Amino acid sequence: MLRTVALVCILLLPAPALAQYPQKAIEMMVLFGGSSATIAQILADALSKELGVPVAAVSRTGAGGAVGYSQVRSSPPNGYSIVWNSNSISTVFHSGNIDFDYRAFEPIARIGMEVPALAVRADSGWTTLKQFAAAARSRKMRVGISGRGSFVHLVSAALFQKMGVEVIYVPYGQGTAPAELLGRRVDAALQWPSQFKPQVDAKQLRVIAVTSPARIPVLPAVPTAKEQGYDVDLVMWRGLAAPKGTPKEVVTRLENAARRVVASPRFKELSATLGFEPAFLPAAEFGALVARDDAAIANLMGQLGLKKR
Amino acid sequence: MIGDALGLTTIAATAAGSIVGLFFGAIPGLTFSMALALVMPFTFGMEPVPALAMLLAVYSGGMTGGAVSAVLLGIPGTPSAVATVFDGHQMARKGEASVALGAAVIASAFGGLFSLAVMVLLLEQVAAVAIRFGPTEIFALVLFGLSTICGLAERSLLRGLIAGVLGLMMMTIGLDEIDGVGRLTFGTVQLQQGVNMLVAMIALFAIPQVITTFIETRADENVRGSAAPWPGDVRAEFPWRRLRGYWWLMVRSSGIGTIVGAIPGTGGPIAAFLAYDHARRFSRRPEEYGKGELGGVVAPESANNAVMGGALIPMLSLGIPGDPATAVILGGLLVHGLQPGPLLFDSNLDIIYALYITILVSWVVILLVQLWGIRVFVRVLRVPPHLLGVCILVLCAIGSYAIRNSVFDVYVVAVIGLFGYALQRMRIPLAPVVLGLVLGPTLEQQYRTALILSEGSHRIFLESPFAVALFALTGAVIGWQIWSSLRTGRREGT
Amino acid sequence: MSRVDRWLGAVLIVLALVWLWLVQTQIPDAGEEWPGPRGFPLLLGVVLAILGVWMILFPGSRTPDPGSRGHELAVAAGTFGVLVLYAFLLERVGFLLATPVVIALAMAGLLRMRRLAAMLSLAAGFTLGCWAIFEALLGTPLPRGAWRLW
Repeated sequence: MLRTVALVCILLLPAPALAQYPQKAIEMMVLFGGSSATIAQILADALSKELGVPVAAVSRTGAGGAVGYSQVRSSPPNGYSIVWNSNSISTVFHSGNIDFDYRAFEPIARIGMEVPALAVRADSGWTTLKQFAAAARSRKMRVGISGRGSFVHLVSAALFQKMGVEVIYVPYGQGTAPAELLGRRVDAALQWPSQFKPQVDAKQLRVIAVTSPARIPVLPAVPTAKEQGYDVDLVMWRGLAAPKGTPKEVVTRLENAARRVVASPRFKELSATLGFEPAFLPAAEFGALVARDDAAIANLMGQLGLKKR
Repeated sequence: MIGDALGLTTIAATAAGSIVGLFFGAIPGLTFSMALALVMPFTFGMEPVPALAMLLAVYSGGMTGGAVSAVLLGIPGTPSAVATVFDGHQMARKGEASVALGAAVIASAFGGLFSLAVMVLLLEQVAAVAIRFGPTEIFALVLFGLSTICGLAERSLLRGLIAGVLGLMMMTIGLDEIDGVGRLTFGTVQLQQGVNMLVAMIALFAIPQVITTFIETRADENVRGSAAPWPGDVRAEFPWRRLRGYWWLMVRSSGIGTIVGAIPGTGGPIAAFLAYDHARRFSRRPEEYGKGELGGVVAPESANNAVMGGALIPMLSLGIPGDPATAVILGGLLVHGLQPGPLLFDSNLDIIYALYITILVSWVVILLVQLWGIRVFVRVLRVPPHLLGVCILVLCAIGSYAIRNSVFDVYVVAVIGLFGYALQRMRIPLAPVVLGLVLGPTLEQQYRTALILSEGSHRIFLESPFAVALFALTGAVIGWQIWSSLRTGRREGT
Repeated sequence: MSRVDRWLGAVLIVLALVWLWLVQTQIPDAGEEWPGPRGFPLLLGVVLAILGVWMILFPGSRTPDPGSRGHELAVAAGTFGVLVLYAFLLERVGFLLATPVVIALAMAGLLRMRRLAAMLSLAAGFTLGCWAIFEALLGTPLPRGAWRLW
C-alpha cells in the first residue's frame, strides 16, 4: 500500500527543468509499413546512439498517413515527437483528407529518396518508353498503381501524359506489383525499384525507365524518362519534420544528428540493401524542396481531377 | 550456414523469439506483426541465421499464442485465432481448457510443419499456382468463404444474414483503399482510419461476456463456476488420445492454410474460417460444432499456422510478401543483404536450408514451451469470474489502444461492445458479424479491382475456370442450406 | 415472441434508411464507374432493409422473449460508461492514473464490492502488472496522457 502511494507520488513529481535537449525518449512517428518502415527503424536506432536517448519508431499507419500527421501536429512542439514524413503530406492534403499542409511542420532534414521505376515483363519485348508508347497506342495498357491519388499514381499520370497515351490504372494493395505483372494481369507497373529487384535480377521483369533527373545507383543501366525524351522529374523524398514552433536549437540538434547518421557507412550499406537512396539535405534546403514539390503535386492533382482542396 | 542453424546462438534466439511471440499472441490487442516490428532492431546487429531464426520464431510463436486467449478468455489474441474461439472457448467452459489448448498447440505445430514440408518440396509449383490468383479468383474464394455464414447462423438463417451484413457494413467505414476518399467519416481524421478488425473482434467477443458476468455476479453473490463463462479447469488431461480421429482433418486444414497463405492478398483469418467451415461440413457430427467440438479447434489452428509457411513461399521464391508479417521478415532478410527471389536459390542455397532447419527447430521449441505453459495458463481460470471480468475489461481497452497507439480505438471498443451486447440480447449471432469483418474489405476490394481490370465488364468473372467453379460451389452451399433450413422448419412446424 | 422480432425488423429498416442517407451524403460520388466507393455500402443498406422487411413478415415463433430486466440494462450501460470514462482518462492523465480509478469504479459500481482493501490492492496490482508486462517486458508504449502528469 505505502509503496504504491510512494510510487504514485514519485511519478507525479514534475520533470526536472529541461537543461539541454534531449532529456528523454523521442517518438518518431512512422506512417507506412514496408521497406520505408524498416529504414525508419534503422534511422531511429542510429539516431538514438547519436543523441544518447532512446528514439522509438512508433507506427501509426492508416488513412494514407492522415492520422499520424494529425497526431504529430497536435503534439507539443518540444522536439520529443517528430515524424518520418514524405511527399504524402502533399497528397493527403490535396486529396482533402486533412485540413493542414506541410506548413504545419518544421522541416528537420531530408534523409533520402525513393525513385519510382516503370517495370514490364521481360518477354514483352519493350525496352524503351518509345516502344511502350507505340504499343499503348494500338492497345489500351493496364498499369498497376498502389491506390488512386497515391504518389505513384501521380507519377504514372505525369509520365503517360508526356507520352501522350491513355492507360487504365489498376489499384492493387501494397507490395504485390511483381505478382500482378508476372500473373499477366497488368502490362506495366510503377513502383519502388526494391520491389522489382529480385525479378529484374532473374530476368523475368525489365525496368524501362526511372523518373529521377539522373540515373540511380540501384539500377545504373536504366535510362531516366528525361533521357528518353519525356521530361518527368518526380521522386519521393523521405525526411524528418517536427511540429511548427519547435525551437530552432532543437531542430538544429536533430538536423546535425541526422547528418552524421546519413553520412555513416553503416547507414549507407543498409540503405543499399533495402533499395533506399540516402541523400541528406539540411533543414533550409529541405523546406524549399518540400514547398516546391507541394506546388508540383497540387498542379498535377488538379489536372487529374484528384484535387479536392 | 547450415551448422549455424543448429548452433547455440540460433537456438537461444529461437527460444527467445518464440516466447516473445507467444506473449504478444496471447495478449488480445498485441499481435505478432507488432512483435516482429519491435524485435526487428535487435536483429540488425546479429548474424543472418540467428536473426532470421528469431524473426521466424516470433511469427510462429505469435500465431500459436493467439489460441491461448481464444480458448481461455473467448477473445482472439490475433485475428487469425478468431475461428478458434467458437469451439475452443466452449471447451474451456466445459472444463476442458487444457485439452483445447493442448490440441491447439499440436495442431499448430502440425500445420506449421506441414507447410514447411510443402515449402521444401513444392516451392516453385505452389508459387506458380499462387501467382495466378488475381482479383477474380480471390473474390470468388472470399465469396465462398462468406457463404459459410449459413453454417455459423446457429438457429435462424435470417438472423445470420443480418449479422453478416452488419459486419460487412462496419468495415466500409474509413478511407477507401482504392479511391482514397473518406467513407462515413463525418469529416473527422480519426474515423478515416476506419474500424480496425482486431479492435472490433475484441469488442464483440469480450464485452458482451464481461457484461453477462457482471449481471450474474450481481444477481447472485455466490455464483462461481457453473453459469459463469470462466470455470476453473481442474483436469490437466493430455489430448493425444482425444486427437486420434483428427489427423486427417489436420492434413486437409493444413493444406487449405498453405494454399490460402501463398496467395498474396488473403491471410490467416480467411484461412481459419475456411478450414473451420470445411471441418464442420465434412464432420459426422456437424451439430456439435460451436458447442465445444475438438475439430473446431484443430481445423482453424492447423490452418492458420500453415498460412505462415504458405506466406513464406511467394516471399522466398518471388520476393513478394503476402501479408504485413512476412513484409517485416522480408525487411529482415534484406537488411542482412539477402535478396529473396528466384536468384536466392542459386546464390544462397545454404541460407535457405538454414532457414528450413530454423523453422523446424522453432516448432520443437514452441511445442515444448507451450505444452509446459498450458499448466500455467489455465491458472487464469482460478481467478473468480467477476474479478477476471474487470481485468478483461481493462485489458481489452489497453490492448485495443496498443494495436494502433490510438485512444480513439478504446472508444470504438466501448461502442461496438455495447452494440454486440444488444445484438446478443436480440439473439443475433455474433460469429457471422465477425465473418463479415474478416471478409468484407477483401471482398469489396477484389471485386472492384476486377471490374477496373475489365473496364466495368462483369464477364471477367466468368473467364476464369477456377472462379466459375467456386461460384458454382457457393451457389450449391447456399441452395443446400436454404433447402435444409426449410425442411427442418417444416418438420418442427414454424 | 413474434412481437419482439417485428420490433427488431422495424429497427433494422430504420437503421438501413439512416445508413443509406449517410452513404448518399457522406461518400463522394466517383462518377459513372460502378461500383465506386459508394456501390458496396449502398448495396449493404438495401440488403439490410430487405432483411428487416423479411423479419417483419416472417417473425420467428420458437424464440423466447429475452425478458429484459432493468438492472441488466443498467449493468450494460454502466460497463459502457466505464469504458468511455477510461478512454477519456487515458487520453488526459495516462495509463498509470486512469487504470486504478477505473478498476475501483468498476468494482464498486458494477460489482457492488465493498471491501476497500481488496479493491485497492487489485486496482494497484493489476495496473502495475500490466505496466510491467506491456512497457518493461514487451516494450509497447502505453498512453501517458496529454497532460503528461508522469
